[in-house]
Amino acid sequence: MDKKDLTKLSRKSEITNKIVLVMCYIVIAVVLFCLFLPLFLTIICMFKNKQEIFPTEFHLFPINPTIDNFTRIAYLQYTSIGINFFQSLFMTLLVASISTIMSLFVNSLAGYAFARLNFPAKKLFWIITLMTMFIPGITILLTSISVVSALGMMNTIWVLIIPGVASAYNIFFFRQFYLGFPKDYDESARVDGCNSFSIFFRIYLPSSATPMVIMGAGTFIGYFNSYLWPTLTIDSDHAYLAQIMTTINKLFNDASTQGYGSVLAASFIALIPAVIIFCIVQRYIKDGIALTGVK
Amino acid sequence: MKKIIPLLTLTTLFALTSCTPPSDIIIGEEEKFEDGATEISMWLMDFEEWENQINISQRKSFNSNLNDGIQLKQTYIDTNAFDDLIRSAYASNNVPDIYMVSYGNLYKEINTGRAIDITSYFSNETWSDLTDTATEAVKYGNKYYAAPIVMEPSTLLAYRKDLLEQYAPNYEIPTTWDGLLSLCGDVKAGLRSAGKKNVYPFGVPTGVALAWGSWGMQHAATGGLAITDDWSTSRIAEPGYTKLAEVFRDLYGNGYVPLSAGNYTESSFDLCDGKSVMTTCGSWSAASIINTYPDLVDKIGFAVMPTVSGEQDCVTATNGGWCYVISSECKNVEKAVEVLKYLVMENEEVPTSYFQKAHYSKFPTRKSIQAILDESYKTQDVVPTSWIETINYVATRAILEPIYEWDISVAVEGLLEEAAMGNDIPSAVNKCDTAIKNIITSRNIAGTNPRS
Amino acid sequence: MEQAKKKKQFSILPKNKTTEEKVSGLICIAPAFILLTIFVLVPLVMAIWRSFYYYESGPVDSYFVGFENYKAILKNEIFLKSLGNVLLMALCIVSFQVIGSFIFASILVKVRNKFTVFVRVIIYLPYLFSGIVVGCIFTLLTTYNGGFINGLITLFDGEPISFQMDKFWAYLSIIVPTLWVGMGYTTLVFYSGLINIPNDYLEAASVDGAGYFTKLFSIILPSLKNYFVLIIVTLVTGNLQMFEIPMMMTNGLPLNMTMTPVLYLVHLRSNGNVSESQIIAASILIMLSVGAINAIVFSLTNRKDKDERRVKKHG
Repeated sequence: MDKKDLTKLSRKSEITNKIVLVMCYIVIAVVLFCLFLPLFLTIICMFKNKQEIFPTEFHLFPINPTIDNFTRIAYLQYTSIGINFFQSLFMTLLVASISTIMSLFVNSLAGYAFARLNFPAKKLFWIITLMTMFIPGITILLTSISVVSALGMMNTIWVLIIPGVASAYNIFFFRQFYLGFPKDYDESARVDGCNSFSIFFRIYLPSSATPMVIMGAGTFIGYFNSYLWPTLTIDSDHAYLAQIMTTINKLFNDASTQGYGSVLAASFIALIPAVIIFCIVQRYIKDGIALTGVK
Repeated sequence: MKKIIPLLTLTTLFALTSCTPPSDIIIGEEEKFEDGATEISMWLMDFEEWENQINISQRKSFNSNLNDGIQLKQTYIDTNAFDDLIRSAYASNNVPDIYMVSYGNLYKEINTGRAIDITSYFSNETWSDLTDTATEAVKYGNKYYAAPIVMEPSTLLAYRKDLLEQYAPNYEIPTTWDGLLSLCGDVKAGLRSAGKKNVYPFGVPTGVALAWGSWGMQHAATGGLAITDDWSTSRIAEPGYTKLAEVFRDLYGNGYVPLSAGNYTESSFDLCDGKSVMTTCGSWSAASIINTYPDLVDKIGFAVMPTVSGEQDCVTATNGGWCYVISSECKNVEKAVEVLKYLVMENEEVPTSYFQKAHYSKFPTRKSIQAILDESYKTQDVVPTSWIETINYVATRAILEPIYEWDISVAVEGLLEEAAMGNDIPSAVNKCDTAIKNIITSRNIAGTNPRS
Repeated sequence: MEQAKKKKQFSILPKNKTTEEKVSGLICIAPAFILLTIFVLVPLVMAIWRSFYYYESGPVDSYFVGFENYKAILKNEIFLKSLGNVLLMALCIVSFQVIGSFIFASILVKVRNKFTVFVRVIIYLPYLFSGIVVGCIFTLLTTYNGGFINGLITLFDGEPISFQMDKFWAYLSIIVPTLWVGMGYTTLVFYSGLINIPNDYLEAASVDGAGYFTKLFSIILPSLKNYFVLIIVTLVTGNLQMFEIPMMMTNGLPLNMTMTPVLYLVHLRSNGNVSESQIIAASILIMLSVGAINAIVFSLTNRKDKDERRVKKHG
């Protein structure tokens, strides 16, 4: 092959590369459109009154824009719901944050052990742990309530936090992630005299920013959105512990008269702090190991 | 940018709290608490806000008596989460003293021992004051288990007078299904020539709501419900069921009803929003309309649901409703009974004002209250008298909601749904018949009806 | 302070490497496993125990019935039908979500500039909504009379679509919201996996003249195996137990064709004369079937492992 052919070839590959890029952008645009359409409709609906949300004649934008949906949630404690929306939002953020930190620590440690360490009855422990992942919530709902009430945890903040901390799903996630870690690192660390714990704290923990963010966001949202458990374990005398989804669900019950507007408005406002937190932590999703300097 | 978002959020939050609340939220006063009083806890269903407010005012008036040694505490329970909540309350020893159940679920509460026998706590006069349907609803085997609050007939025909006038002039409110279908046809033609695409002549419940919302229609069409009174065999082979299925086929096939409807409890709102010209709805819709669409009251009429033969002096609806039971974990039954006496059973003022505030949309459970209401409705001008008379007419003839297995009602709903989808009716009837017979044999329910 | 404490703890550990690993492995899983035991395993054992009794919350006596609860629920036609429905739905959702989000993650990695960082944040947003709220959002689209889609259709003189009377549309009205919620999350997981594949491998392959698909099958997919197992298992588990979105969108219509097992149990619990122990028995059956399906997933991926090893040996 002479030079001319080579440049031709590279130009050709450049062109195909460009076409691929353009196609990529088109796909991204389509996905973003599908993603935004429901969100867009939701945002519009928050400013519609009940009749206009499901209109007889199709019109996209509200004819009589209203902010009643928003003011309603500011006055929730005066309705029969009797919960202060912002207090319950704050309490939910508190519970979700504490739980997420505890959960990430406990589960990443266990995930590391399942991925890297050899200990007695590992397979048995692993199968039992995995099995707990398949249990539908409905199976153990009432028996778990017997357990937490026997432990005296009902109507305290702990009943919201502790039972969800250990999660087979998170352990599984961390194990799968750590399985992909190059093994050479821990072997060389062992030669340097590190034990299993210091390997975890010095090598694994610092380089797991990516799974921590992904899993942390998932756990946080799981706590944030949990509805049935807080409803069953916190009674109306302890309304200050009420979780946000319980509040929103109560609002939903009243949706027959108020329309979906206030439910959607409430869930949007509730999500603002969560979105801010996610925007801040998401920048740690990076080329994990390569960037954290283990190499 | 990073600082702007939180700042914006904070300002909107402050702005929100300083806005005036929507018109239907009333900021009331704190109530006084009585020293050394026994607390009686009570679970109520979380209904619409206006109805909750009636219950809250009942509690406040009860607690304003600072000498009775009882403090009433109410908790509003998500209707869908009730079963989880009551079970988890038993699991965590946090059971309320009094709670509300529907007549349909009362038997389950008795069966599990959660609702206690309260016959001896009330005098014979009190029990004999109950209407016949109310007695039947709360009495099992010569014992009374609950204090009935209301009766609500679940199937009525509501219509927009102005829209009917507009699209089908010289209309007549039908008494037969055939008449209804032909009126629907007229309205449909009128709508089509007016170019109204999203307005439907009629509305029927779908899904779960159809399973219980069709009980009245089933009884009117066949003179009974899906199984015989002794629960021994299916009645689906009755010609009435085929006829009812044909009605559903025609309603859907001709586009008289929307192919899927929203919530049955909201069906009256479709009427008010002008999405349908006529609709089936429960009696509670009357109060919803008055509370939410006061301008439309004059334009809406209520009628008895059409039947196959045109006979109206028969069962055209089932009476549903709610009652208070005292739980097996109640420590102070005497005091809980005092509460029930005040709210439902012996006091006259409180129940009367309850029914009046509910705009006569519910039917009382006590003969004495009924007598008072029969007089008082004539002197008010909020609710059209014709509405109240229709509701009373239907309610006095209606039977109680059945308490047989829910899956039987689901099977009948399946039959109507198949008809609506245009599937072959005889084979759907057969399918439904075998399904019900299977349920009867596999769950051994023949001859176990506690009401017979 | 804490570090000093830890150091002290570490010095207690045995010096020998394998015994040290054994001890610290057990210590590592201890917190998680103790919590799982108290809050999941103990309740599970109690639930299994109850499933062999007639049991109902309240003062009523419970008595041993053996397998009666299981037999009763296996005779229930709607329950069996719902198992079939959910299998079909989960199959559609899982296959589409895995393939779709893998492709989308690859595109994001391929483009990879400031814009994709923004996209990466945006696609995660739907995951923040709970099932009930997602249901509300999509009801705005799919409501028969007044929804967005039918509004557009009638605007152009079309026949409105019923999302509750037509099997195809009913399935779609459940599958699409589920994908809408989950896609961003799985894309993010794949994305984090894709950017961790060392670039040298891919470049070396390109120099050797390998096309994209050769690279995909020889480098990318094998190195993402752990991610695929993770995502498939979690999606299968999650979707077989789904009920919130189906409840909000169709609630089982038409003719119980979109009924899912957990949703059916929710219906039974609030409407049925069915005892609590029967519902527990049914949910244990759901658990067993989810476990069985996941066992199949695991054995399939493990067999792939063995195949690879065999190929390597022969090669």
